[in-house]
Amino acid sequence: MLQKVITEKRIILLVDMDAFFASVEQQVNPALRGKPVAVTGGGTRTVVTTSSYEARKFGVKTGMNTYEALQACPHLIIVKGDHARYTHTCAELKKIYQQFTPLVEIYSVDEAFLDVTTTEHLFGGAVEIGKRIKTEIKRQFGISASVGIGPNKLIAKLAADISKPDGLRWIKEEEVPEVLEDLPVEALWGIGKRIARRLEALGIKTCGELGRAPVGVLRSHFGIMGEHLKMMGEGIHNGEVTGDEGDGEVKSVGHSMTFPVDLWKRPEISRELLRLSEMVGARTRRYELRGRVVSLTVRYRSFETFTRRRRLECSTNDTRRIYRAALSILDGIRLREPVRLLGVTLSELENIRGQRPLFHEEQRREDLLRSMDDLNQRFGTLTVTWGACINPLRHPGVISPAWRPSGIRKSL
Amino acid sequence: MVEIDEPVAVVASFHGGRIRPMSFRWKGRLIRIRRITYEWTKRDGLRVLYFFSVSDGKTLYNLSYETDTLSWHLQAVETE
Repeated sequence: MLQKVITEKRIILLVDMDAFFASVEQQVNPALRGKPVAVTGGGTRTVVTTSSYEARKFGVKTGMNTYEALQACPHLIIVKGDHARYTHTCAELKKIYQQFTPLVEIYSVDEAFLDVTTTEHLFGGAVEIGKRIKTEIKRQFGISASVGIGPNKLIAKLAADISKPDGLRWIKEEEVPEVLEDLPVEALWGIGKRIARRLEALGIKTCGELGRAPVGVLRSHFGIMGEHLKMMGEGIHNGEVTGDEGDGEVKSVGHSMTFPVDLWKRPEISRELLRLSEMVGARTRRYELRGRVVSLTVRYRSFETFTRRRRLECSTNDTRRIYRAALSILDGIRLREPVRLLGVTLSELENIRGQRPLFHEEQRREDLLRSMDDLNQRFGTLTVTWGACINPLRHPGVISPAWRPSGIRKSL
Repeated sequence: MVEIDEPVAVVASFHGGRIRPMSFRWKGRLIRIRRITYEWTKRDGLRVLYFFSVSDGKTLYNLSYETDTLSWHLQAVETE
């Protein structure tokens, strides 16, 4: 039996910036406007992170290396990205969104959900809000955004996707079945190529077919996800728009890093693990949390990615304990390829507001970490750090998926 | 862009919570800013850096202003 949560009719907007990084670079440098531009990471990695619509016409795609991109478009202009520009712009965009509703969820650096259910009447309706947001973004930054409006996040995302670039589309609740009927399943947010292939093997190609598929069949092939997939096929999504500043429960704190060059030597990998552990520890301490489970994510050069977890005897936010746990996980892995990305996450969090350790040694350790945190908050991240972290690899300028203008993300 | 990272003397207005660089002197030449094409900030601890992409009509420059030291830097120049 499917569980469908019936709530009041909601009106959700998704604001999705068009070719965000490339559009910002075209504003920074007017000579780039109207030309095919590809933005790469800020370090030595030469992978296209975003390309302008002019470049996309020639087949330039995100994830291509610069050689492939130049093969597709020989007159392509390659620009090294500057993530401070994009994160600053995202933080300013949030201020625009908050003029229309307090319920703003920054989903990624270039996408935000807004729940305007209770505020749309103040501004002349959801479409008017969408138009005003687009106009204000254009006025302040000179760049365009697409706005999707729907009864939930799934449909709002779909509406934005099909209206790109520079579009505005409202898919009303009563229109959802008609819109979804012949739409390929991959068009839905959260259904990637792999799931689409598995669905196709079951004879399901469109959202309409997915919505009509027997839940038992989907459950037997996809487990608990089966019910969720069926609901997606019906255009049902119960996820709420959550503000990102303290409301709701924080589930995990994590950091990951793609390195400018792949790592193979153990001392290099250990050093980066310590740095990530310090970032996780510092952020967890700032929010007065402690976690019980440490996870280590490894991505090989081939993009094969896996995560291993270790449960600690007691919860912690101490950098060294997080590091030791991550290191012990690493010890149990026989690395088969050079490492492209590492991630450390602390989960099963508990609030420790106001608690002080019982034993003297623990108190000294806490005082040391607090002093380090105070200095780093005053003078900048990693101003005071562990000796082994000196000479870290320069970050390639990739914006972590967990980045938010402020506050803390609920999960990695 | 070619990285420069040199301190420069800048004439700017500070008004209504905004900073607008108007001209600066570099290599003995006075460069009048015709247009600010983009601006952004970067925080590092309590320090705030304000960045401006500016044009004199021919060349694009990146300027930065640091609140900690009240100093301006020419960060980079577009060569083409």
